[in-house]
Amino acid sequence: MNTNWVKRAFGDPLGQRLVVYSLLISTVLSTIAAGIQLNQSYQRQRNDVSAIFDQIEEALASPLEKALWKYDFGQVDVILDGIFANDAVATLTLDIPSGKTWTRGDGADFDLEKVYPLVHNDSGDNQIVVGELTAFLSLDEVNSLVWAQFWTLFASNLVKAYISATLMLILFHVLVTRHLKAITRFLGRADADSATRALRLDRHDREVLDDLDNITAALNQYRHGLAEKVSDLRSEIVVRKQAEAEAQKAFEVRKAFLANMSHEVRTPLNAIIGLFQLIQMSDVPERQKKQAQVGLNASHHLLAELVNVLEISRMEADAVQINVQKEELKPLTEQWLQTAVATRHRLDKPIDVSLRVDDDVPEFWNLDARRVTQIVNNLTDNALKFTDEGKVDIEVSVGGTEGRDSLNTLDIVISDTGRGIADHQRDTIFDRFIQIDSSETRDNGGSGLGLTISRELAELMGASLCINRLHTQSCYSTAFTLRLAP
Amino acid sequence: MPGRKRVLLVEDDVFTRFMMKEIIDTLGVDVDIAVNGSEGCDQIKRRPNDYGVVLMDIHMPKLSGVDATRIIRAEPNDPPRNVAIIAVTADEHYHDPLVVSKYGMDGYIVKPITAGELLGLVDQYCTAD
Repeated sequence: MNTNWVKRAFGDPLGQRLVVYSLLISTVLSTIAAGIQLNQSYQRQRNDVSAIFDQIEEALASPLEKALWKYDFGQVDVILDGIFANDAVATLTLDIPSGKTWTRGDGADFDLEKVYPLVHNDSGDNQIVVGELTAFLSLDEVNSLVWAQFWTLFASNLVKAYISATLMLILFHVLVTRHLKAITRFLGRADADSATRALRLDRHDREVLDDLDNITAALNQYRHGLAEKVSDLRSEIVVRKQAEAEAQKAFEVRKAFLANMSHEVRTPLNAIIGLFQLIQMSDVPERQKKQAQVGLNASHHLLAELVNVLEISRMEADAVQINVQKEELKPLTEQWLQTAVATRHRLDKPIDVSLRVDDDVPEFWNLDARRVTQIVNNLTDNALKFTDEGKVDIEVSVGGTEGRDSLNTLDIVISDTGRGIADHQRDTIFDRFIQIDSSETRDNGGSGLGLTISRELAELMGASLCINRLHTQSCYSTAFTLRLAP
Repeated sequence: MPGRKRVLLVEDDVFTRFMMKEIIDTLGVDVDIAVNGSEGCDQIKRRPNDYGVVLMDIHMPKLSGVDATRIIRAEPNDPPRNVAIIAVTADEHYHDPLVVSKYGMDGYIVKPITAGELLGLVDQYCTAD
């Protein structure tokens, strides 16, 4: 037998426990068995010893009595020595009526005692007491014998228990533990790679299946199911990745389409607008000029709406890019004013358009000039559209916490004296396709996308766009604040 | 008017082409048309000294405005720039004098074109002498 193997068998904690328990149990059991055996043996030997009294009585009482009757003390000594020769007899004492006493042994350490009256029957049937023999028997011999037996039994049982425990341990290892270890190794290997071969234990096939066979079968079934699931998942990942790539591609195509669409829409519209402008400038009757003006207005309107719809689509497709740069504010604000003035001119309304820039506004600010301009133009367009007379003002100031320069914001406020927005409508004006009143839709065209686009653009830039709450004394009826981050 | 320079209009979009031609026509300046960059190059080669200005669309099929300009500027008889080339585009990248001069062009006008702007430009390059 390979010693390494034995070492492995002993090194297994499960086997160690098994040995300890089996040793404990066999020790207890063999102790009880030995106890019973020894008790029986003790009783038997004690009886054997007690039989000595009968032997003494039967064999020796009568000759002793005769010797005493004849006063043959020499014979008495011989007989007493004969009795005392038995190892079990510890002490013998013989008293006779004349007062003489014989003693054999020291009289100590006796366990059993018996007194024999010595009676002489004469011819007239008179019974004459001639003496009294007292025998003390010791069980020392018996006890030591029993103890010796006990130790032999105990030692042999112990050795037997140890040997059988060792063999049991090895058997246990061969039959169970090593297979459990094989299963553990298999499980440790199997989780990562679904291609691992099926578990097969190093043991003979039997007709009647035991628990190890059942575990092996269950594990193999489990592994097989797992492998199938893993391969399913893998193919699903492939499918998903393909779908993702396709979605990404579709997304890119959509982006490209929207960019292209914008160009495709603008180009012919710009041609139309150019031609209407040309007619207006030409030497044609006033009526044709008016017709050209209406065509021009309609084209501008159409262009603005198409641009808005495309812008919303571009936002939905995440195709809007924000380019923040350090920009000089003065030309930018002047441009906002000019655009507003041009719109006012086009609408031909009695409205004062003004620009006010606070003194503490810095010369430069980090912003996306094109997007901010788009929002501001949107707001001034709206203000002019919904105001019939009065004023539309653009105010630029530095906002935020005072004394904490790094947290300051740039606030652009566009206010007007138009018809205003009722409180209950304030929440919906930034929603898509919403104009605050359907009757107003008739007066004022528009798809209702301007504020939605403006707010979404502002959020894309990390800015905020909101409608202000105005004091009742305020000369304005509506005001929007575009707040740019520092 | 004899002695006047002509305009070469290089533009792929038929509506824009017509609209621009109509506007320039009001000045009585002759306009030649090319529908892409390579036609534009051929036209310049055919009449190297007749054009006062080339109105060059940037994004065109076959040959872009930028490539066409490079070919025109590489011609042996071109330097020192005897024809002005003006970029006509909605692409904001080209709305910068430094950028267009890097590509060998003399200026830009922004699409959508306004009639006034276009007339001013043609006037400047074709009728001044």
